[in-house]
Amino acid sequence: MGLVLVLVLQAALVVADTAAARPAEVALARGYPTWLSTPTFKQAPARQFPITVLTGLHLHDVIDIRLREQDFVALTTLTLQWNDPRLRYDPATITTDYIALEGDDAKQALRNIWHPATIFYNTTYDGTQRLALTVYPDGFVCLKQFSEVTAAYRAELRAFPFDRQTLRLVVAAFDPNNDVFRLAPLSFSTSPEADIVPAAYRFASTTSGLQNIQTSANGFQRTLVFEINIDRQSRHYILRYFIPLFGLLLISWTTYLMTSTKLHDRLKVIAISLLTIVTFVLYLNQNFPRVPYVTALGLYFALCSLLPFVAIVQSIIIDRLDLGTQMDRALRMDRVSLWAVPLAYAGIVAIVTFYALWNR
Amino acid sequence: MGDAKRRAIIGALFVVSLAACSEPSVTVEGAGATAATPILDAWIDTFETERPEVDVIYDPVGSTTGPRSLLLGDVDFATTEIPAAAETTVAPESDVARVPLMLTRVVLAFNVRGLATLRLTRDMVVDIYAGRLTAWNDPRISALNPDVRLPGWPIRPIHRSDRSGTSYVFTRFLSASSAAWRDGVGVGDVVVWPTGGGSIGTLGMTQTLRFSPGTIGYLPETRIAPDAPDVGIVEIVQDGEAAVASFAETLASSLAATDDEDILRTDPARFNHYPIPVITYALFRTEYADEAVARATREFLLHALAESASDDPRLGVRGMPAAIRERATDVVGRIGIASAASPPSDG
Repeated sequence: MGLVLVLVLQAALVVADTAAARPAEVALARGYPTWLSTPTFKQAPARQFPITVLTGLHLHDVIDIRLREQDFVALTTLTLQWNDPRLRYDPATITTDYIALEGDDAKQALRNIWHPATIFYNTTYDGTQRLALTVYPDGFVCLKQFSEVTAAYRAELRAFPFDRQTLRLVVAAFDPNNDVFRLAPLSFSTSPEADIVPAAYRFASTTSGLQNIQTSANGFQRTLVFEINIDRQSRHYILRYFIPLFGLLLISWTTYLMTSTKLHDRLKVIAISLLTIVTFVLYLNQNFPRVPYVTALGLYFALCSLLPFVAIVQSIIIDRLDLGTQMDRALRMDRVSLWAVPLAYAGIVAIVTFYALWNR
Repeated sequence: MGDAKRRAIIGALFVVSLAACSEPSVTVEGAGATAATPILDAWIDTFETERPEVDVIYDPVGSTTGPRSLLLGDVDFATTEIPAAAETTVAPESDVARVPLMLTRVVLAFNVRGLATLRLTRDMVVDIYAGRLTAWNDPRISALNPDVRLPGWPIRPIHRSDRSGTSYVFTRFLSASSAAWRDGVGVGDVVVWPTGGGSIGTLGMTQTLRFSPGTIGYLPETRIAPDAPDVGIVEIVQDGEAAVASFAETLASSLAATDDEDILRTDPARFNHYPIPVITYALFRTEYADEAVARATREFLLHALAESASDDPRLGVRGMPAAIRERATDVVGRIGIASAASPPSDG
């Protein structure tokens, strides 16, 4: 008898525990809508027009932006809102203003009711981590999906490192005939923190809008495009790329201060600086995607690489002069080079700046 | 110039530059009506330009949640369009005061083939929301709009699913227009709607109307997006004439009312004006524990009351009558510190 009593008590505890863990089942026990627990409305509701699905995106954070791979990782919450009159229920059956389900309960309810199938169109990875489903007594449904997504973007690097990039998240509807539901923009918000993008960038603005994407010869898919505009923090790149290269050029420039007769020493210094520049550029290029155009940084590297060659040519010309009779001429050439080369460098900086601004 | 003088000038410049560069030193937090958000945002901008040391944050959580947040001490002021909610909040023993903060209007908007206006009667609006008038080409609507070729689409009335001050004033309008609605559905920030679809927030209503053909809904008159050519505004007619809103009458009724239900029974015409006049109230504490917050809240609300004095078509604000505004200004001006009897001094 005692054993039976213990078993009954254990069974009761298991039931109570299960009920506590599954609010949907508790709700059903109280007389809540049947769609909480059984497949009830799998098909889309009757309609004369496609169902309007208001779609909003909240951007919590852009964790990483990978230049070479041309993708970014973001934490987002996608909100979908629609009406399904079949889900109406008596508000007197609940003590709150709406039924709110999370996690497995939300997933279970979504298996039982129709909901718009959407996808992040340009993502290479979509890790939807949590779901929150809210159903109001009038049949209004709000679904929130918390996700970590990795999305591709096409980097436009002509103005690099003074460039502005646009990261896009494209939400598309799985509705082959475009007749069941239509996405409509609700909102695009970001977390109030200023640094929602990695340190090498600065958040600028957001835009969103509808866009039709051609999916076949005659077919279009309605998508919602959410764009995040970011500016590159160019100071970081000036310190990392521009100033070291300037230092290397400075080394080759010192050859104009060396005695005109020491061609061998001059060439050694120039060769060292030139080889270092080439190594430096080759190393930096490993971090960049291959692009079919010239970037501002690439233009800077190319033009700066010319200066050591100019120094080599100038040294050889001086070496060819008869220093017994043409020493004055050789000294004059060095003096002119002393100010002409910095002037040429200033010209290079001006050209690169103009190119970056033109292409920004 | 002597050293002492030079040092004094440099010191003064240093202090001035520090003041210019400093972050806001006090934050005032408010919460409440979603419909009031663009207006409050604009007023916050002008206030913060004048007073950069104050940071005012407004969270549009709704006309019901805002006052609750104030009572819980989560925010420093709240806004609501629901006088009853405000009355409940302002219990005699409470240290919360209420003043009218802004006057705006709510209109009915619709999306039917890009029509800019459509004439309806109050009874028709009630019937649409009661589910008795279901097609746009219904003979009753066509008779009022003989020049318009209306489609046979179903009418899709949209309401707010969340608790909403705008729903409150709209259901009050419907109750004032129809005793059946008053006794059946009633007035409230959330009611059991006989038919129709839902939306959340003023933005949700705006976007639903914009992108859903055949819909009709209610929203602040300035929230109809200029880039939404499909959305038109309903014109209410009675006995063949356009109804002219008597803003002052409704205002007087709302301000004097402790119970809208009484007025709806005895003199419903007080609340059936269209476009529907809306009073948004500010709720705040009469005493704050922090002197800086007390002063900043007082000054922001005084700034808002000054802004509400005249018409601002851009924001949809109607000028508040001087007598009402002066009384409100007097109440706000008495905001003080919890431990002190007198209000904080300026400066």
